[in-house]
Amino acid sequence: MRVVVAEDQTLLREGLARLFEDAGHEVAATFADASGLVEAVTADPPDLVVVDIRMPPTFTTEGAQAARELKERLPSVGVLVLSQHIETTHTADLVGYGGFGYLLKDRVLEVGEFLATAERVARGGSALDPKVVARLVRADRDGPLERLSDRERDVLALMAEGLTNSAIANRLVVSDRTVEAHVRHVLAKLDIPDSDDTNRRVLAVLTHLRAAAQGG
Amino acid sequence: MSLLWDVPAGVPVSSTVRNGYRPAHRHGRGSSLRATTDAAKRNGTIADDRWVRDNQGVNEVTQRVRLSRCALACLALIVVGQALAVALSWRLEPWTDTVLYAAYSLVLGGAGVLVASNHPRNPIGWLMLWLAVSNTLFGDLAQGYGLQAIERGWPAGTLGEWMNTSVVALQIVPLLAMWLLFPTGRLLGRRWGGVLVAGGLATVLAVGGYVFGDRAAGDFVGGVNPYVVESLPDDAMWLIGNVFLVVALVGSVTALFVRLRRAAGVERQQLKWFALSVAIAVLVLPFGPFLWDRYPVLRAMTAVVLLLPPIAMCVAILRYRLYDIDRIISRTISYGVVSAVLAVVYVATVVVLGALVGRSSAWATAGATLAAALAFRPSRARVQTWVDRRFDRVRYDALARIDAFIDDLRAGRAEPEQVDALVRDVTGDAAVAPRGALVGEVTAKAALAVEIAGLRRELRQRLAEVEASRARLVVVADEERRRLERDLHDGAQQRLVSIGLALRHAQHQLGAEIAPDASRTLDGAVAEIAVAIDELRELAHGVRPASLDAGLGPALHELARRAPLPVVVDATGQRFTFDAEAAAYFVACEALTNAVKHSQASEVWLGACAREGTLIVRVADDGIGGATQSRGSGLRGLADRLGALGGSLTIDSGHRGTTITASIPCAS
Repeated sequence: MRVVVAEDQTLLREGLARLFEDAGHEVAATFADASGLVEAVTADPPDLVVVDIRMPPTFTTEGAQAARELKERLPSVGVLVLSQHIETTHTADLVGYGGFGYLLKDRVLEVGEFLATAERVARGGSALDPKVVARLVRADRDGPLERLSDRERDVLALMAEGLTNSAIANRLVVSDRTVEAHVRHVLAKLDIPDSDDTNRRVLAVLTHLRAAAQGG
Repeated sequence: MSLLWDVPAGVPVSSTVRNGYRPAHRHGRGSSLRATTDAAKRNGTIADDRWVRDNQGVNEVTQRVRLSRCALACLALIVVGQALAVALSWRLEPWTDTVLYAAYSLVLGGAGVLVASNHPRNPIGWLMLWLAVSNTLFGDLAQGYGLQAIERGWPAGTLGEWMNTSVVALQIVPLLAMWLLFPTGRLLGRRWGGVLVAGGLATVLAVGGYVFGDRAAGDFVGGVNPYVVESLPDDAMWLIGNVFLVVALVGSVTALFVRLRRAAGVERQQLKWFALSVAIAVLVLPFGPFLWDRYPVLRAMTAVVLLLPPIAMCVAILRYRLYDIDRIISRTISYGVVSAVLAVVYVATVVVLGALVGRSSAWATAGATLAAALAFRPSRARVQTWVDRRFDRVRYDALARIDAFIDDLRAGRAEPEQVDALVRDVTGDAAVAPRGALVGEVTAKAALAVEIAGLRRELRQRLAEVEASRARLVVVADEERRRLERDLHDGAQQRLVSIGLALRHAQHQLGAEIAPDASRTLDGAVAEIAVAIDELRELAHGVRPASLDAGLGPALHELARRAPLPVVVDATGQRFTFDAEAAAYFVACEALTNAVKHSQASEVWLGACAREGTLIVRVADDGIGGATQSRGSGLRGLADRLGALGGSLTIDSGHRGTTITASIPCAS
């Protein structure tokens, strides 16, 4: 796949580019800040844009804004936002677009998983960092999640991360059928409408979790 | 033409004080008062310059006294004339008369020189000089010559005697004029000129009738007036003239009282000097004739009393600020009354004891002396208070107000800062303002309060500075945390990720199949790096949560999500200043940590809202309570932090639950 990398730190930018190239992907362009990123991508859309959330000049949410603009203009281009720390305010709602991912930067060190996630996002799937999901799930201890079994909670977390049923099956080392059964149970217990669209399912799960976390 | 003499100051106030430093060798009340006043003025304690300026009237002591040559020439004439007169009359008349007249003229002349030199436009000084000169030349000198001439057979002896008798003709009108013109040199009104006319008529008629009639015979050594004009109706002239004289005297005394009544401020103080001297003279002079023959030495008292009015006039015109005339009056009265009281005590004791132990017993005298001595102190204090209240109401009231204020100050009913207004009010009073000495007294009494007020002002200023610097420190510390957090995230953490990526790249280059051992080693290294990154992230979050960048609301939600127990968040989405948000966040953080650690709570409620320019953060739990600020440095530190921002922290921790509320001023 063709990848565009936007990251202000040179070493990291080169490292990311090399990571993709090592895996046999094409790095179409790299950017040191968010300016010109949207235009360049619009002119020659790649399959995936990897963007750092904090970039010059203010080092706050330039990356997140660029990501939002890209998702609005080019829904088909996958956008993967990288962050140094867990911060969901500017990005969580972008998950609903599909083809969007939000990961902590150190995920890149788990090269295999990172590339799999990147490819999933490029294909239009969703990805949410396990740490973010874990925090959401943890926060909802007294809510309806109490009714889930441990295994079902694991499945819920992986669903929230944006994994498909077969990816979940791979991760948990169980059969696809078992995963499907778990997913059905989870959705039924939490009263979430089932959907074939993984992205919509992720969004529904996240909405539920976030509501549970904030509403108590 | 005038000469300049420096007259040394009689009061411990010198120009050096005015120049800004305090002379070390002077510790008089005057200088400390001045220093206090100056300090107060510098500190802005005394905004109104007026009473300070008036008070500086005390400094007039150091001003130069001018001596005019013309007046000095008159004085020289008087001195020479008196020397001659004394030499001529010596032993030819009672020596007390010689000395008394000489002293009278010299004192009058001296006073005249001072007044005329410094206020040449005021006729008083020249009138004094005229009286002294005429008295010397046509009175004393003529008299001396007359006596000596008759003794030695010189010619025209009786003319000298006659001149001495008639010298009063030169003095009635000037004397009346002095009374009428004092102290301003101007008449009260045109009509008062009538008094002078009456004086003139009295001079012509009474003096004429006297010096040209038989009445003056007693003034001549020969017992006969050789200048009698037989055709003159001297009895009628004498009688009518005396009527005019009485009218003129009554008129001039009335003028004095009218003036005293109308005058205010400085003029009133000046008149008081004169009135005092006249009052003393009026009281004492009647005793003269009785005591004159029995105790010749007491004639000196008469002389002294007669000298008082010119001295009083001189002081009143030149130095009315130097001494507090009201105080002198009240002291004079009180000592007079005390003397009378003691005399009564003495006499009564002598009479009573005399009746008991015998008339001439030394015991009676000793007992009376003892009784008088014992009665002195208590009666003096009582009489002084009574006199102050009765005769110097202004001083009594002024000092009483300061006393009352100091009492209030001690009791906490008044603030030291009010001393400015009080002193200004008291010394600005029309009756107090012209009395330099009283102004000084009032200021000295209030000096402690002035000092306290100054110190308090300084303290407040210092406190404000310290508070400002504390707030700056907190802001700087917050800024530092923000920078540290960014450095950790964007510096160390990113670098570690880069290194990890480089290792992964190396792993790729090696090929996992070709070098499985190296690949495993690299896996381990990358895992270590991941742990390090995680640790750094937690560290950075503790320094300052990055979630605060998104605002207080998101940061509090984030905080709630990380908590190990259910937290209900009700936070505003409003943005506040950077330091207000940081303070609010750390309050919530610390309170939540306390709730988790100590409260055994099952649920925590976390709220943040803005109300009337104040950001209020409230953390409530349903735990066991008992939280105090002293427990653990966490809440204490937070209270300090909030205090630095001008906010406050309240802890309400009963048996059911704890509620911690922080108020932080915020501009938005």
